[in-house]
Amino acid sequence: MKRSFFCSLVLALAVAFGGTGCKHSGKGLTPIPNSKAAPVTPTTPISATPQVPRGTGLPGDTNVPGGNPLADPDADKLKNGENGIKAGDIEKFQDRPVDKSVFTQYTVYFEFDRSTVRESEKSKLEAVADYMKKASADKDLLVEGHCDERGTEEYNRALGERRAQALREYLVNLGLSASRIQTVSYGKDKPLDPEHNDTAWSKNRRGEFGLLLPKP
Amino acid sequence: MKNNFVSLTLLAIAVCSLAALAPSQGRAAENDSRIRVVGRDDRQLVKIALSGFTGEALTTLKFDLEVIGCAVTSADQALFLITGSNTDHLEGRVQDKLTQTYVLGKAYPAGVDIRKQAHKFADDIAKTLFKMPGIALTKIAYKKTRGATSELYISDYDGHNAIQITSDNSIVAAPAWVPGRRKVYYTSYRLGNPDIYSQDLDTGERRVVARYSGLLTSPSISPDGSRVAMILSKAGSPDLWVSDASGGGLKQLTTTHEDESSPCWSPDERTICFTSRASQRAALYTISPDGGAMKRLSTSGAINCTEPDWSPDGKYITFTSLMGTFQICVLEVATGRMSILTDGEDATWAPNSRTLIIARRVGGKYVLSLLDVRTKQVKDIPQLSGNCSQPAWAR
Repeated sequence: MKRSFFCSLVLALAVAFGGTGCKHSGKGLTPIPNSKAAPVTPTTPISATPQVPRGTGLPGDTNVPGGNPLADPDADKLKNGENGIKAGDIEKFQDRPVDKSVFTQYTVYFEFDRSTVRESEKSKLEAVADYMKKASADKDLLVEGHCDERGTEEYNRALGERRAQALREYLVNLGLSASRIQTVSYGKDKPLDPEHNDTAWSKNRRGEFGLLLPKP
Repeated sequence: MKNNFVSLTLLAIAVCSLAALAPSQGRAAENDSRIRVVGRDDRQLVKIALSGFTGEALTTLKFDLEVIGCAVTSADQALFLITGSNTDHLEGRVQDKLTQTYVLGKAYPAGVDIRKQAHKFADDIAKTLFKMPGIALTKIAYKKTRGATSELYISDYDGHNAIQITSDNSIVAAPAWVPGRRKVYYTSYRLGNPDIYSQDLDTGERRVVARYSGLLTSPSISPDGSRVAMILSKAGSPDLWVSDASGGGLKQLTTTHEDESSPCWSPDERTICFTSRASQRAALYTISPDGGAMKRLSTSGAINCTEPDWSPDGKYITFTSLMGTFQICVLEVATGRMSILTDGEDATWAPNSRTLIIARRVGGKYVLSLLDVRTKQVKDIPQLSGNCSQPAWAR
């Protein structure tokens, strides 16, 4: 009951904030020059580009409206629901230095096309959970999900996220607060081993950890 | 701007007046049985002969016609003779060899890029011989990977006039066009997290569509441009969500514990097709954009089905099946008949509902190729160098 009320609240706020948008132009973007000058009619009629409401966005790159972020007071209690554990507050994790050297030996490997944590990998997660429980509260955990190349790009991006979240769920069950864990999926964009064989694939199906340090 | 108007007017005048070049065009198009031979049911390459064209006009015309299922042969083997010239401007005629009649004659105004003139002639041939909309003047978007980063590019469908439209020095993914508009949606990791942006190609203006913790990817814009289907993991698992075009009014459509991916819209906007691992293995499902139960779509033996795309005419869904290697498949929606076409992944339909653009693994990188679904003819796009993937066809 409490959960559904909270969900409605999130949805209502998402709707309320949804109309605003943040403009980013200029930096890093290339308008197509002379694009209206195509002298040959296109195959489908192109309607006029609607005016984007100006002044509705917040300044700066990192202030991004669009429905979130809301702190989730129940995040830790919502574990193992039908859907999983709700994601945390994105701004909390923004622009923070990551130290991956701490956890290099704890990279978790997965079976082909699976996101379940294997028995052989559980001790690594226990070690990561222990480390984080002892770490100061201003340090958080980044969990990266990766895949081998035997999946299409967007499928793997989703599978990599599912893997990262499976690790997050396992860590929460070990007593780590969900609000301290950020997940990111790279799908097959960042293979550890670029080869195209079983050895490479088994290395690439992985979850990596990084220590999120406080903003400098 | 004024010049363009003049060019367009000239083009219109030229096209009208040069209809006289082909006095029998109307009659031939309606009555000539040869034209029906090359119609929609034919699975053979249509043999044509090209003469009189040179240089870029010739290579462009040849490429365009091969993409839509033609094979260039000698004149004595050809069904159709395509003759013309391209000194200063392009003129072309199509003669049906059997009936000895001209079925098409067009001239295009000087002053326009010769490649565009050739594309326009190819489109006119597609309309006349194949009764289908031309695609030679359409655009594609794709991801180009260089080392650890990737950027988004837009080019003509044949790879010419490529323009890099992001410079985020990060990872981009999953470009999708707003139907009928010069605007794309895509995922960028520029702020560390994969977030969804929209970008107007005329002004370069970029807006955030969705930015939450976790995965945000695979935007797909409804045919009327008003809604976006996408994958968000903010509820704890990669699920299918819809929002309005700006990202507001979010609604969660699936609640599986496993992951969903790559949604696409039916042209009537009543159904979204997507991939889910709900049954442990990737399979295609459909759901109403207004909510309700997700339904498994039968793919007649194809397994590990991902990256669906619904044809603009509504008749087919293409998808990638992993059966040892990646295979491009097409499912006929009404009958459930499934065909395996060729090696490749991540296909999207051209506006003609007949041509697909696909990514193929060659050596250690991806190349983009064009696949004619009826004849299964594959044409690589040699113009695109480097590692290009996730093609999206403007339509």
